[in-house]
Amino acid sequence: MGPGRCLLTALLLLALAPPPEASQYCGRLEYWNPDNKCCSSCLQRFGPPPCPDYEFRENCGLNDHGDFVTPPFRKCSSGQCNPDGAELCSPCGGGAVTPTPAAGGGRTPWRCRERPVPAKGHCPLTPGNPGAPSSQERSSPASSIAWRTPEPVPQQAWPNFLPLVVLVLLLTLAVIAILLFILLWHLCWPKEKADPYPYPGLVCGVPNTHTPSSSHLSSPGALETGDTWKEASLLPLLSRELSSLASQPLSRLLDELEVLEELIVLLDPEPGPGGGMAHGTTRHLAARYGLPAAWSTFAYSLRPSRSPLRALIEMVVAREPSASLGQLGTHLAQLGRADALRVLSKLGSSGVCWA
Amino acid sequence: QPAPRCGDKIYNPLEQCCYNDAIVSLSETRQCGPPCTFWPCFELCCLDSFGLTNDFVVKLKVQGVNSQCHSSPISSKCERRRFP
Repeated sequence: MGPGRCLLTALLLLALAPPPEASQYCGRLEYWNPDNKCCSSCLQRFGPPPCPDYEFRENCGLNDHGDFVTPPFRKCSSGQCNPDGAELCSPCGGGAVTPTPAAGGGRTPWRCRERPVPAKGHCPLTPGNPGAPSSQERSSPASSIAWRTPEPVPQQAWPNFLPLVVLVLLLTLAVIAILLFILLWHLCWPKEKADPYPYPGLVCGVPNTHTPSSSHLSSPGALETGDTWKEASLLPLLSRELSSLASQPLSRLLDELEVLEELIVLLDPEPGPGGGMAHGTTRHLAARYGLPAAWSTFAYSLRPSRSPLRALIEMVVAREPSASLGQLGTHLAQLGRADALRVLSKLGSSGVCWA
Repeated sequence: QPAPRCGDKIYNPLEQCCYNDAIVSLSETRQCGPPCTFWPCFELCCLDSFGLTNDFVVKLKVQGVNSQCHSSPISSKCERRRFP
């Protein structure tokens, strides 16, 4: 046996060997479940490939730690097809599927319990398809990989129209921004001028909670009036602003980034305004919305990259699209967070300039 | 109210959840296309686009309802990776 033949044998063995990221325990169409210490079927987790001419990757993209290393599906290689949603591609035009070498000695002694195969999901690559995940989740899911609906516009059409579309979009946005600015200026400026107690720098919105310096006030008595007004402001604020907020969806808060940022600054930090284990943070707000303490613990662990309040708002909006800003205002009032309530009232539809 | 089950086992929802037919701790994290991590008990590991960009994206699970990738809000986008 010459060296050339040895080299050839080594090369063949390398080609047949499973890739380094393959499971040590399970076959190609299975993945290792590190929690149950067993091999589970890719098909029973993800369902059949939702798009034609796609097949399962090795161990459906999972490593032996349960991590998603690569997407579970991949396109068939050249000359291979899969029109019927089988687990693996086969030669186009017929022909048997090439048997794949199984890792872990060929047989998997640790098989997880059998589960029903999920229904084949909608292929998001198909034009006109609403797009759907390949599997659905309960709050305690069996599978979590699925697809978002991709952009339907074909790639080759973009280069021709992209600059024009971008230009038109920018012009439209600029015109809208100018019109909005003019509208706000027109609505707010006259009322500000008529206000006997002007607050400098204040346009439409919540009044500054800090007492303005006396030099800015029109009369010495205005300072006392302002203080008295601040103390009494919460009650009319609750009734008037909550009524205007009640009709507005909570999802609006996700679009009003300035207001959201202010609320995040007020509500996310712990401890709360009283120090120690004071009440009125995002954690307590989450409890008001019926979320378990464990979820709050998870949400706070995302800091600083992600705000717990933002995650809470998104959760509530996703779970209950009819949730309103009024409900949030009520919760804030019950938590005694008048400061946050004043910030939220900026979204009120009254558009009144405060004094 | 009966204890929640995961497969044929019961678990404590204050400390654990059922993920992929297995009971895992609430604090468990997994990779969602390296280098992104996600919390299987509270998040979904989704693909941004089927086979086109292969970007992973982590989404929030909505408590108490069937969470689906296409309707769940984004928790974080993972670094773009190309897979063969």
